Amino acid sequence: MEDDYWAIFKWHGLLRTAEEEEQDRFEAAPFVSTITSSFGKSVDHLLRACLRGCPQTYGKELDFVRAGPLDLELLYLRTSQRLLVHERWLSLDLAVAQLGFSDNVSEQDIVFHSVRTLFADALGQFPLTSFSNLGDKARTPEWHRRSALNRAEQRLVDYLRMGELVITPVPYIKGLHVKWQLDSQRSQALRVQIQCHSASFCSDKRKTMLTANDGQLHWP
Amino acid sequence: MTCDFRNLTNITALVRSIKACGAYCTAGSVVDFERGTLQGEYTQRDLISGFRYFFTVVYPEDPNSIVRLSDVMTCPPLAIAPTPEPTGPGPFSKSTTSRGPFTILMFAFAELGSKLDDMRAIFKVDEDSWYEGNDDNGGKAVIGILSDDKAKGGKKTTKRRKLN
Repeated sequence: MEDDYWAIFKWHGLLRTAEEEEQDRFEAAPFVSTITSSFGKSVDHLLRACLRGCPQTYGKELDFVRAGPLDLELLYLRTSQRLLVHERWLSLDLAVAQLGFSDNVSEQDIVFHSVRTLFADALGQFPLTSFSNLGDKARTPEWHRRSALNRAEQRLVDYLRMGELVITPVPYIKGLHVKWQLDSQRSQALRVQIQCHSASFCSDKRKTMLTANDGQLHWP
Repeated sequence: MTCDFRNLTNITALVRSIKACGAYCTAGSVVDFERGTLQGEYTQRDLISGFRYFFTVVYPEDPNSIVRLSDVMTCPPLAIAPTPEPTGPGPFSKSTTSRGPFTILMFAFAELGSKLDDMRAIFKVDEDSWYEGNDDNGGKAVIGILSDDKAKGGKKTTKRRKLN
C-alpha cells in the first residue's frame, strides 16, 4: 500500500505503532485493588516514598495495573499525572525473574532493586524540562535527574539499614516496646525519631506517612 | 544485654512528645550496643489497654527519609510485675511502698490462684467472694477476699461455708 494511504489512516487515528498499542492497553488495564504479599506492600510503600521525596515526582498518583502479558513495566501519563506500574512487580518471584537474579538473593535486596529500577524508569519518563532551572544552574538537567535518583537510592539504603521493627507488649507498664537492628555503618551521627500512633485514630497514616516530613506535619 | 556506652558518644537521641488528631503520639529513642551491632529500642508507657497502636521510625535529619512502619499491636492489660527473688547476703531492705491489707490479700489470692489451676472446678459460693474448689484427690479448699475492715480484724464474715 502506498505511504499516502498509511498517512491517511494515521491522520484519522486508525493506525498505531506496536508501542502505542501497548501503551493504550496498559492504560486501559484494571487497577490492582488490594496488595496482599509483604513483598508487594514493601514495593508499593517504598516506591510511593521515593516519589514523595523527590520534588519533581511529588504528588503524582501511583497505581499497579493487571496488564497481563504486556512487556511494559511502567507508564507515566502526563495528562492525568499518574504512574501505572505492572503488577508483576508486586510478586517476589516475578520481580526476581525480571531483574535477572538467582533465587539466593534476599527479599530485602530484591525490594531495593525493584524500587530502584521502577523509580529510575519513572524519572526517565518525566520531561527533562522539569529538571532544568533547579538550584545549580551550572549543572545540566541530566545531572539533576541523576542526582534525584541517587538521593532516592540513599534513602532506600538508610531505610534498609534500619532493619525491621519488632514490637512486643509490656504488660507491667501498659506499654509497647519496639526494637530494631541498625547497620553499624549508620552509627555516625545517628539520630532517629520514633512515633507511637493509635491505630484507630491514625489508620490512614499507615498509607500516607511515607517520609519524615509527613510526621513533621502533625507536630504542634 | 551488654551495653558499651563508650561507643555511643557520637550518637544523639531525640525525644519529643506530640499529640496528633486525638491520638497519643510520642517520639524518642534509646540506642544500645549489643555484640557490636547497633540496636535501637524504645518503650512507650501508659497506653490504653485494648487499644491498637503502631510505631513509625525515621531519620529526621532528612525530611524525606523513608518512614519505617511496625506492625499494629494491641496494648495489653496491666499486669502485676513479678517480685524479683532476693539474691546475695541479707538482710534485705523492705519495700517502702505503702499497700493496704486488701491489696496484699489480692496479691496473695492471685498467687494462690495460679496454684489451683489443676482443680476441676472453682466456683463462687457467696457474695463475699469466697471460692471453693475440688482437686483430683478429693481435697477441698476455700479462698476468700477480705475487705479492709475485715482484714484489720473489725468484722468477721459469717458467710463462710463449712467444709465437709
